[in-house]
Amino acid sequence: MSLLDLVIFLPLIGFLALLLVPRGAPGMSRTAALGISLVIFLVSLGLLGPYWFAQPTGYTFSTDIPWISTPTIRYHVGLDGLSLWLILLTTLLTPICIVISWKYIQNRVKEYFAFLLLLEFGLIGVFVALDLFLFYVFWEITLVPMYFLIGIWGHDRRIYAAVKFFLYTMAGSVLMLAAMIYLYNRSGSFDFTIIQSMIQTGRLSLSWEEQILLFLAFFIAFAIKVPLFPLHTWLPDAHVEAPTAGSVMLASVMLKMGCYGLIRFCLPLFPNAARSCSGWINALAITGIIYGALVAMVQPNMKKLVAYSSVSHLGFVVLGIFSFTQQGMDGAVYQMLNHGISTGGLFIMVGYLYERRHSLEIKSFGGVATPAPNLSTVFLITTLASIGLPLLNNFIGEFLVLQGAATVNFSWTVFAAIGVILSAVYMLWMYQRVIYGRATEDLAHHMPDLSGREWAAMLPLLVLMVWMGSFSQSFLPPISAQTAKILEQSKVGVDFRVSVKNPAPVLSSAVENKETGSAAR
Amino acid sequence: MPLANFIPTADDYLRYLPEIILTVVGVVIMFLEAVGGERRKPALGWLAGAGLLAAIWGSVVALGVGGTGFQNMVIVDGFATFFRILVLVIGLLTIVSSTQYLDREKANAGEFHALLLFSIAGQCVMASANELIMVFIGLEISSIASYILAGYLRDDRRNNESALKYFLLGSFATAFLLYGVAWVYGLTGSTNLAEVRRVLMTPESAPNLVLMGTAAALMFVGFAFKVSAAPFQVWAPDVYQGAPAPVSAFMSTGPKAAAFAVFLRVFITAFGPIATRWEPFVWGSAIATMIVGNFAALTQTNIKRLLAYSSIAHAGYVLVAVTAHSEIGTAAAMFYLAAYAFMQIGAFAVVTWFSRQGEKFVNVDDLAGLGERQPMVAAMLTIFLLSLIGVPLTGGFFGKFYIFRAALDSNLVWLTVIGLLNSAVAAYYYLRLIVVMYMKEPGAATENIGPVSAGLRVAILGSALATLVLGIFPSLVLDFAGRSAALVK
Amino acid sequence: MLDARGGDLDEPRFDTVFRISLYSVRGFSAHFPALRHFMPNSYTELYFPVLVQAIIAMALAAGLIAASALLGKRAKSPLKDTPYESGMVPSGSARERFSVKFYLVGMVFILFDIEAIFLYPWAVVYRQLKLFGFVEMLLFIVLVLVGFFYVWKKGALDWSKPESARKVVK
Repeated sequence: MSLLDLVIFLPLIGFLALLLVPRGAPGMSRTAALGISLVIFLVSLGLLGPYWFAQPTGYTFSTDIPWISTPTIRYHVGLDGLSLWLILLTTLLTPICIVISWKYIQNRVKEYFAFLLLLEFGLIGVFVALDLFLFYVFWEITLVPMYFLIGIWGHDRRIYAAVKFFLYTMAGSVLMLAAMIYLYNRSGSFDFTIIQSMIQTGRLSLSWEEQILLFLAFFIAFAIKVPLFPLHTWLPDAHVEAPTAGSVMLASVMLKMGCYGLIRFCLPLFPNAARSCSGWINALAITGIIYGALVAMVQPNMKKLVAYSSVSHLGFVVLGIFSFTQQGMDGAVYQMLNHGISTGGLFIMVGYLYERRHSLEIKSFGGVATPAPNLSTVFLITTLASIGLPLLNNFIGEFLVLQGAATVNFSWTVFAAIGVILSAVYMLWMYQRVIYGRATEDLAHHMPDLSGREWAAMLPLLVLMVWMGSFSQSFLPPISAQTAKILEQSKVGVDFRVSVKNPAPVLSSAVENKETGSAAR
Repeated sequence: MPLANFIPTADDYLRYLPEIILTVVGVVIMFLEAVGGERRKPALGWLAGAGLLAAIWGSVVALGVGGTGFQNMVIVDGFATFFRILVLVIGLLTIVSSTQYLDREKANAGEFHALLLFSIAGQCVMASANELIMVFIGLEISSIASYILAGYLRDDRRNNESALKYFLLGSFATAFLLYGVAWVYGLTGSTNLAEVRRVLMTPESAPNLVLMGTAAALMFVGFAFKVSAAPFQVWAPDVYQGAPAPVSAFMSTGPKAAAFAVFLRVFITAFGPIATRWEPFVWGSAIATMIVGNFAALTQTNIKRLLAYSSIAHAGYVLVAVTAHSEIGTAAAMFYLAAYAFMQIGAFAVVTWFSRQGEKFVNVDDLAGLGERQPMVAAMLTIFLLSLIGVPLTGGFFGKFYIFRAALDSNLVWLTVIGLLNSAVAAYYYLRLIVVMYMKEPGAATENIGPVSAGLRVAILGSALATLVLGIFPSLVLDFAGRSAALVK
Repeated sequence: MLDARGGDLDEPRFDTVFRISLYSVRGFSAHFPALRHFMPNSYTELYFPVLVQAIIAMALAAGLIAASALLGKRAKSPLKDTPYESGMVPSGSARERFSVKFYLVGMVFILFDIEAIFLYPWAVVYRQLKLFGFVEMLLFIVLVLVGFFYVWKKGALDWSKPESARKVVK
């Protein structure tokens, strides 16, 4: 039992404990949920230990015990630089979500907070599972609480959005399950580390068709979750209809499940397929960046605008991953965290505005700055962070991604940079229409400034925006160590063209020679 | 062979202990029903429950003896014992979940319990049959009792319709089956499964494959009717909708499990050598069953009918495992049928409680607001529905997982992909129930629901617990299934 | 006469139509060796004539019906549609309702009658089965008796008891 297991199972224990709280005591369930989530956050800070001074190469805090005997499924979890920050992001955002829902949720309070904790359980599990099957289990578990969060506590079209969200993800993930089972039948193991080393050493050689199909099965599941254009259509609905905390968890952490899956599984398991598809994927990513930005620009609804901005921002992440460069990957992972912080912050701010006016339409605001200066300031910082202003977090991520992409194909950078410009346009335009201008009488009376509770929720995010933007070196080293490893793994591939005919696989050195040769031709 | 050889040994009786116990208890209940007073009737339910528990013990004893008995007519192996215990547990759950129904409809009579026991006895016969004749006898014992159960409230028009449809189409199906048995006997000179296999394996004596295929096809028609596989599934929705809810729960699990048991045993043991011939047909039937079940369920408004279509779809998943015709496929089918039984009975138990007297409230929309007014029951139903969808940590998920693993192991890639996409489609109509329960404003139907009776509580909680245990520790059941899945000895 | 695999066919067993179709098949497969591909062994050869015969029979029957329908003259009158009662003018409807009790008694009779028939084969082998046979038949009789008792107690044998006095399953 390591510290990591504690971090995984504490939310589940919290979920079960919360179910025992009597229904008639909403205050008690709020306090209990906040207490539990803060404890989880504090415990999870302990995970930083091994990464404080050194960069361990393997997995830390790993536990590997048998779970199911036939087929062999093990409870195998481990932490590395890739999952470390995502877990801390999850454990940080959960108490924040509880704080921002403190007053907003008045109906079925106990269940709401219980589902938030169950969601946290699933999310942490996804980021640390090293057994493919275990990963799938956690992946599906996250669906259930999010489905209920949207469906019960959401806005008017919540049911449509919830069902759409569930079905999209489910449709993608069943394909992934099929691919996992196929891999198991070929390799005899669900353990990611074992399969990966088998593929790397050539003990498991998949034919070209197998690689492509398996890669696509995984990729589609992850791409739906990211979401990559054109599979993004569930996202605006889910975001708009979800309650604020739901949107925050969805945008900040759940979308990262897809990105994480791409880096963790798609690249090391199917390097050849990933590399040969990367052109198409990057084209889609860039389309998503520009398309998301353009659609965001014309949205009359703030939440929808932020949702489409997510589509745009996550295009950068995919672009970074599939640039197959050190900077691009680092930027992609960093951008995952940045997006979690800044878009989470944006959703929280939009939620604050909604609680005051009960509207998400941009046109029902205007002149907020006068009655609520603090709110406007915080909103401004968050907006600027999202745009990618230097010294704020998004800048670092986007810069690294663009730099990485430029070394591979400069035109990608050019097109992606258009997205950066557009993001400034739509964000600032929204900010201007909401905050400036003349406040109506009605608005001025119903626009109290930030309360202490609301400050408490935003303050950690503001601190992180500045910190991540100005001292990226406190975060990047564990990420770089891991992305370098994955980059190495995804380079080393068995040459399929040989292994189809010849059962003895030829390792990477031969591949590289061939590839350079064919590129020259 | 001298006739004295047919005199059974003491071991033979022990091998047949569960069937003997069930029959004796059933007959005793019939007798007490005739002589006993009105007041003693609830005791008959307890007696039936005790009989089922004794029969479970009896199947364990029978497994201890093991082997074939009664001149090779009966085989007691792990496979048979698995299905015996499964149908017995299904019977127990049916009895506890029917208590409230029988009280409510003022129909608490011994016949219900006696018929249930007879039906289960028939299913036990099927599970342990090593002979086509025994298969037929078991099927008839099981079916005739369930025909009557389907029309148990004989003044109720829906019950009558259900029983009549079930009877007519069911006897039609058994006729096909019997005709197939006759063909097999004519072609191979035996009705013993191992002997049929031996004949088919010997090149000199192997009968014409076209005729043998026809025989297998005729038997397939019979089995497909019983497991409600397309294109012979049309009866299922009408019958399950019309029958009393606890009986529908029973019919969609017990006879189905037993029918799959003989299906697997006959097709893998006896027709194993001609697997390449029947595999394409079962393949097609599996796909058609999944698609018909799932897509028809999408538009249903009656919960019982919806569960009936979902039951068809689930038969399709099990057919995928049959198509794999491998040991892990058999084990997967066994596990799936067990997991499926619990979630289906649990869902029907909630419907039994919810529908109230005369089954007035069986529409999907009637569930509106159940999550708010009866959070505990709603949570249980949610567990069953999530399991039917196949969300991890429930039995239904592992069932699907094992089935599709077996299918991929037999290189049935397309079948797997279509099946998995089907399960994504299925999520939609199960989710609709959850949506109505939790996300709709409470309606009139959820007002003033009486309490859940103790029996139903046991049934619902027991099924939920079993669903979760199968989902978290599937090895408990799967290891046994895996050990006993070897049908070809 | 040898069949396709060289075995001797017992010719006199077959009737004429069968023989004709059998020979025609043989003739065909002699002239068109490819046909043998569809008839891989003796089973098919043996039963294919049956199929031919069945087809001929069905075609003949269908042809006769069709011929009479096409060629025959029709004269419709209401009188022709009345039930045939030996040339008499029909009196009353043929669809009379019987009391349900007749069916009940009929069913009970058939049930017990059939059960009794099982005693005959048992009697034939009684000596060989000895005590086992005796005990088994005793069990069988007891089961039948319980059934009889049930039927009796439920009032299926009472002809004239008023409906309300019956002990029946609701």
